[in-house]
Amino acid sequence: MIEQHLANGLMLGAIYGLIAVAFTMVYGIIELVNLAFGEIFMSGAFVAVTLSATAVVLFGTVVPMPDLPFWLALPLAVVFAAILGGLIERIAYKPLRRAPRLAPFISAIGVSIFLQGLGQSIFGTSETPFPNPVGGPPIIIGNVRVQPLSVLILVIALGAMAALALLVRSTPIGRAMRASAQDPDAATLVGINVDRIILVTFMLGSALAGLAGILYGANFGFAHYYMGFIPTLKGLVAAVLGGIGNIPGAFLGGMVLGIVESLGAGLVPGGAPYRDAIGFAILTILLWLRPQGLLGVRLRERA
Amino acid sequence: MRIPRVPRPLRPRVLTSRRQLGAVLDRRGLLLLGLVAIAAPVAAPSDFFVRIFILALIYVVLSSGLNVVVGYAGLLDLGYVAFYAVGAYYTSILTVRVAIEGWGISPQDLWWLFFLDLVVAGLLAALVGVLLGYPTLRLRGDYLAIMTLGFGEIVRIVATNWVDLTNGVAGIRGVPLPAVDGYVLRSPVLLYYVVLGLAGLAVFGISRAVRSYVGRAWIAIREDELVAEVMGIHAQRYKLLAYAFGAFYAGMIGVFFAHLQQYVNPQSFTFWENILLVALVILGGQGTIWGPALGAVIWTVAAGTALSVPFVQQHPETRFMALGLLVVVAVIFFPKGLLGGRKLRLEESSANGSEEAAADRQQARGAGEAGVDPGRFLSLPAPDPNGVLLRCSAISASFGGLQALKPTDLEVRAGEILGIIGPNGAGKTTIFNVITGVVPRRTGEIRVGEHVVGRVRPSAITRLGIARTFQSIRLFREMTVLENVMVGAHMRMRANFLSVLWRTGHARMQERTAHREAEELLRYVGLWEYRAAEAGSLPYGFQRRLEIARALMTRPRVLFLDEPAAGMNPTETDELGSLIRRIRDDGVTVVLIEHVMRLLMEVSDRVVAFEQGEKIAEGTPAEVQANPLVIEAYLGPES
Repeated sequence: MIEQHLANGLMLGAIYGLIAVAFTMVYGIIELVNLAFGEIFMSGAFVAVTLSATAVVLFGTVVPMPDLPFWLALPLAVVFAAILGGLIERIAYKPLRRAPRLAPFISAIGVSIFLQGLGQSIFGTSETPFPNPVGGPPIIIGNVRVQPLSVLILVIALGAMAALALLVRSTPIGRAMRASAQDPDAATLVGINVDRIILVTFMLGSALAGLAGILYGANFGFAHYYMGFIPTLKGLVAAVLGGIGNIPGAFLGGMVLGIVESLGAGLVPGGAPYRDAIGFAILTILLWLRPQGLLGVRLRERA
Repeated sequence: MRIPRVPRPLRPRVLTSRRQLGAVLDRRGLLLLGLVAIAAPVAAPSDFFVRIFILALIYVVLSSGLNVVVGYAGLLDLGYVAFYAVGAYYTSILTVRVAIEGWGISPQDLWWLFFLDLVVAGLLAALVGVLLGYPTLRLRGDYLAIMTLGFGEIVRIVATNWVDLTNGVAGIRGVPLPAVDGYVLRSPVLLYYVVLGLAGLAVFGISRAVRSYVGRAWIAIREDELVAEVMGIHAQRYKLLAYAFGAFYAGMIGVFFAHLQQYVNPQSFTFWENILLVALVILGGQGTIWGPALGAVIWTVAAGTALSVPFVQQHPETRFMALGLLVVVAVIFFPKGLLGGRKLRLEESSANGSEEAAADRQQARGAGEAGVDPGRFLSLPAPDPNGVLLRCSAISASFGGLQALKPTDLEVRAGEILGIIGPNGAGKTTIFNVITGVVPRRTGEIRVGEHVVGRVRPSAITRLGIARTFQSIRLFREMTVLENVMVGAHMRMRANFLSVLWRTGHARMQERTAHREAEELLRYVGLWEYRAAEAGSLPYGFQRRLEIARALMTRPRVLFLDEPAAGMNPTETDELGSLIRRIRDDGVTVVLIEHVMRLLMEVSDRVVAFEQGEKIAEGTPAEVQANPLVIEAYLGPES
């Protein structure tokens, strides 16, 4: 039993981890909790499902679609999410660089409300079915049954994380990102275009959030305008768990949250309905005892 | 020497204190608003509209209550609706599940419970607020937001799943309508008047709270929490108070909501509601009394009536899209909201606009210039028998691996002006920070008179008669000059929160005294003409003097000035020199960090020199100036 819950938690945790990394990257560079990631998450799922279907109902009318295979629809949807994230950054956050701290956060809330309404307008209030991209019998390892889809999700998530780590660690743009996160003014002085780096960070974060949305949609078999809310909150919890601003910490935080949640819901009697409360309870206790997160250092309020 | 009168104001200032917008509505304005509110349901074309108005007033209470937390105390709360849920569920469970179902009491005999619950649920919500806020309010702004968001979700999830208590998703049905002794208030118009009364009470209470020393403390915390602490405000306690006070109104109106709907279920308390409320506060004008209320009325009425448009009926979500767009546009282009940017004229917004205050002002004008009177109304530790007011023994501080201050002894004697010099990075400001509790000390002991200072919050140190200014000016920029100074009176404000709400004689007198003293001090530093200007709009040199007045308002025994002459021109520096002397002559000991040597050497009785976190010389100005170590520190070793 435990192994089964562990396996499920691992897969779910990888998805939370992706969102957590998106939050943490953006927070690390401009100290903004970009709540709009929830809707970027949703957009990723919707675009993927739209591209891989033969026809979709948009604004209440049936529209024929290209019926792309999943492996093609997925990268296209990720690119779409990245562009959407970049657009949001330019329109809603860039004008607020010098505004008080909470202003961009509130702008993010506005964007979030808007996009959720837009999603509802386009796709309606009912769930859009998300076809399972990999069928086949479950893989049985010992007494654990794992769907091939779960394996695929885990592989894609880990692959994305590895690519991101490589990018941040060993490329010039990654170095510029780290420099801008540490000290934007000093980064400007050495010739880094910090505005562009912020844009790139947003696009990368949005790509991850979009990817998370696709994987989540594929796993649960639907896309819905409200689907981003709860997973994104959990991603945020995971980012805080890992110490916000800390990329490996965020992914780890996601994994921990996914596993704890699955174990809590599966093993604690009567725990299943409280599944969604587990993360928040952990968050509450954690912030109480250790406001800097699991791996984080104590941050001071910007004067 | 008298301080020369300040020249005419550079720009004729118009007051912009956002907090005092409540004062804009004078008696006539309020009367008009009241008449409109009373006439609204009668003039409404149908019950449909009356129901919208009722909903609007519920949102008025919620957004006004949230405004206390977000707009005044500056704490972003994304879980405020949970308190609303607490109120609604509390009364539903008590009325339906306990009294009616459990004890078999007939609803007719329970009508009084509704009115009782309005208060009890408010108090319950406030209690929950205190319990939740106590561990969380020390968090940074956005962590707090996430935490409150998590709390809101937990409440909703529990309400959904604790079926035995809350009946889960189906909710609790059969909550009786409000009634008065058997007469059930079925008519929407009557219900409207009930909620109008509640909304009036809420706005009234909030406006009283924010226009008192409590409101000043909240705004001070919002503007600069550290400085608020240094002014003697126990920031944690006042944040908690804002949280609990805001929660009270949510709990109260939750009771009305449950009895109005006659049922309660988790659907009414989603995250979306939290977002909507924050949006209404921002759009209306956070930190203004009427802004959030106006935002709530406009949104509810607009969103409600829009439903009669066929297109919106088919696509109700377009309303939320519009709201989201509005929020983004508002944050970027009108960050102060609908009412926040309004400018006020001076006389309209003076402290409370009453005749009494006018008389006080008249009196203050004639009263001439009073002294600074250290410790007035406070019992401060006296200097020890040797005349030493403050004694630091072997105090030190370090940041990470850097020892910014090596173990140092420092003595401040009553009645002196002590100058502190040293190159940049010598540890001068650090010693100020350690003494005032802003930076924890690693070792050593500090005594004020004979009183040993523990490792306490800065506000506790201010209470011992120690005040300070900051190297980089840190005024409460959005407050007026007068309000900035009045914050300094915080420690002498003894009236408790309830007396503030009742505006008892004691509370009023205290407020008047603080007002008068602040005007005296402004005259003392030569800023009285500017008392109604927004502090952030003052020229640089004036801001420095305002900081001094604000610090003096705490009635200190010792005043620490951190580079007060920085950025001043020679004339201003001379004026500052005489001001410092005069402060000392009036009985306040002064400790001065300054790079302008002419000023420092002229006014100081004694000078201490620091270099690299160590004291290198001490003595009269002439002795220190001649000290080879000091010369070396400033000019480098002789070659």
